Amino acid sequence: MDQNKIIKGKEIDFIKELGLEDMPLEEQGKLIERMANVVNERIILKAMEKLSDEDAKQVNADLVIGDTEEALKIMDEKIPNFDLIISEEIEKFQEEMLK
Amino acid sequence: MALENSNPTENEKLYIEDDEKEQEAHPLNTADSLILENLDVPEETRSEREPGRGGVLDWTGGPIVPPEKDEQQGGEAKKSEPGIVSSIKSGPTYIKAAKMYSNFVGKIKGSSPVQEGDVQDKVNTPVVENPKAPDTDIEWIPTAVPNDVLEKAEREERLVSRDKLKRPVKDLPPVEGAVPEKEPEEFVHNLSRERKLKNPDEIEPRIVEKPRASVEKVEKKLSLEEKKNEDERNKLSPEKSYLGKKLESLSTNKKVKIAIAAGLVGLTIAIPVGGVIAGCYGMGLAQAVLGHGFIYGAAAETIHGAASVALGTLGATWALPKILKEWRDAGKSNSATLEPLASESRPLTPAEMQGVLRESPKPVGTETPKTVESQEKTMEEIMKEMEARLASLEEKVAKLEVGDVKEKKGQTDIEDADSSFARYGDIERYKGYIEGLGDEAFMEEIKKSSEQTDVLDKELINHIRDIDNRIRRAKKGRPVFKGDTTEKTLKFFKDLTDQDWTEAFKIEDFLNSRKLKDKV
Repeated sequence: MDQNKIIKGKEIDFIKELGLEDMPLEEQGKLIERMANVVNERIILKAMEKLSDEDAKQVNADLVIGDTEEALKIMDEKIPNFDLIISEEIEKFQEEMLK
Repeated sequence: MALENSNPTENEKLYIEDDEKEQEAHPLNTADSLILENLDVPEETRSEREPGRGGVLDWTGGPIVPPEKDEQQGGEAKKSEPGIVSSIKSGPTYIKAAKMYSNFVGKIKGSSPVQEGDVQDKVNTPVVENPKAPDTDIEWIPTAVPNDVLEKAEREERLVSRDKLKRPVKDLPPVEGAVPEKEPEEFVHNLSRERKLKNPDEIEPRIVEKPRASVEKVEKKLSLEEKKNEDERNKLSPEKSYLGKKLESLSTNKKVKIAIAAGLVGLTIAIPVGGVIAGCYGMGLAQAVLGHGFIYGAAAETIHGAASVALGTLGATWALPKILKEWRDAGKSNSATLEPLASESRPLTPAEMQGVLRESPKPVGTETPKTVESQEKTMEEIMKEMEARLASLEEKVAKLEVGDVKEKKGQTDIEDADSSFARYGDIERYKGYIEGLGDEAFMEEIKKSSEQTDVLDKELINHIRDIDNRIRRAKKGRPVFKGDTTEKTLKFFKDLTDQDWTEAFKIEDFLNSRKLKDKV
C-alpha cells in the first residue's frame, strides 16, 4: 500500500499574495472554498482526459452496482500519479490567479 | 534683584528680538506671562514682556481672571511663596510644570530673574549639558520647580481636561514642547466625521479599499474559470460526463477538496492510504455511505515546530484561513503537512477547533482514530434496520386494498407512499408515510444518509421510482399524467434499462427487492 501521497501547491501565503489577508476570515474561507471547487473540477476534467470512453463506462457501471473498489482500481491504473495531477493543478491555478 | 544682563551677547540679542516679534505677532500667547505673574518676576522686567497688564490671561483659552478679584472679594490674593520648590519629582503634572519652567527659563536666560539661587544656577546651565530625562522628550528637567508653577500646571491640566469635554482638541492652543496627548475617542470620532466630509479619501481606511479591489479581481477571475470549466464539461462524452459528475459529488466538501484548499493556501496534505484516487474519492465514498456528519482530524507538523490541527471535513475549508492566521500570529510557518485521519463522527465546534489549535503537538500516527471499517459496520446495521422497516411497510402495504387508507380521514395515502418511500432523498415524505413505524433518531440517520449517499445512485433510483409510480398508477387507471397507459409507461422503463449506462445496473435485483417484477 502506498503511503503518504503528497498533495501540495506552491508553498506561498496565497491569501496574502492575493491581497485578501484583511478580509474577514469567514469571507476568506468562502473564497478559498470556491477556488477549491474550481480546481477540483479541473482535476476531474484532467482525470477524464486520461480515461477512454470505455474506461469511463466501466467505472460508471462498477459504481452503479456499488463495486467501488473495482471502479477505483481502474481509475488508479488508468490515471497514475493522480497526486501529481492534483498538485500541478493547484500550482497552475495559484499562478493564474496571481497573474 | 535684577539679574538682567545689560550687555547681552549677539545671540541673546537675536533671541530677545525674536521673542519680541513673537509677542507682537501673538499677543495672546501668554504662557510666559502666566508664569511671570505667578513667579513674582519684577514688574519692570514683566512690563516689557507681558502683552497685557492687570490680569492673568489663561492661555488655555479660559477666562481672564484678574488677580485683584480675590482681593476684591475680600480675600487675599493667593500667591505661592517664592523660593519654595516642589518636592514632587515625577508624574505628568510635574513633567508639565517642568516643561513650563524649563521653557520659561530657557527663554529668559540671562535676562530675567525667576528666583534667587537655584534658579540662577539652572538659568546658567547649558541645555546641551543635560541629558534627556528618561522616557521623556524634555532636554532639560529642573530638579525642582517652584510650587507656583506646579500649581499652574495642575490647574492647566484640569482646565485642559475640562475643555476637552467641551470642545474639539484642535481648538486648544498648542503647548510648546508638550508631549502630544491622545485625543479622547469622542473627538476622534467628531474630527473623523469632519475630515470625512472635507476629504473622504483621507479618512477612508486603505485597509478596506485594498481587499475590496482584490476580492473583485479574484471573483472575476474565478467566474471566468468556472465558465471555462463548464464549457469543458459540456464537451465530455455522456459516460465521462456522468462519471465526472459522480466523482465531483463524491469529493465535494470532502477530503479532496480540503486537500486542494489546503494546497492553495500553502499547506501540504499527505494522504496515508493506497492509491490516491482511492484515498480521495474512495474514502469519500466510504464515508458518504456512512451518511454521518463526519470529520477528518488532521494532525499537522509544521516546518518550524509542531502543531496539532483538526480539520472538520464539513467546515475545514472555511477553517483554513483561520488556522493559517493562528499559525502566522504564533510565528509559525505557513507550510505544514497534514495527515488526515478519521477521528470523530461529527464536525468540530468552533470552540473545539480553538481547543485543538491550542493543543500541544501530538506525534503523527499515535492517534487512535475510529476506523472506516468500524463505521461501515455501524452503517451496515443501520441499513439492515432500514431494510427491515421497509420490508415491514411493504408487507403492510401488500395487504391493503386500494382505497383502504384513503377512506380514513387524516391518513397518508399509503399507495403513494409505497412508490415513494424508496426515494431516500425525499425523506420528509418518507418520514410522514411511515409515521408511527420509525423513531426520530432512526429517521435522522436515514436523513443524513440520504443527504450524502451516492452509493445507490439516488438520481437513478428516483428516476426509476418515477417510472414505477407512473406504471402503477396507469395500471390502476389513475395515471399521474394524462395519456399515461400501462404500455407507454412500461416502455419508459424498458428504454431506461436499455441504455448503455444503465445496463450494468442490476435491474432484476432491484425489481425483486421492490416486488415490482411481476407487476412490470
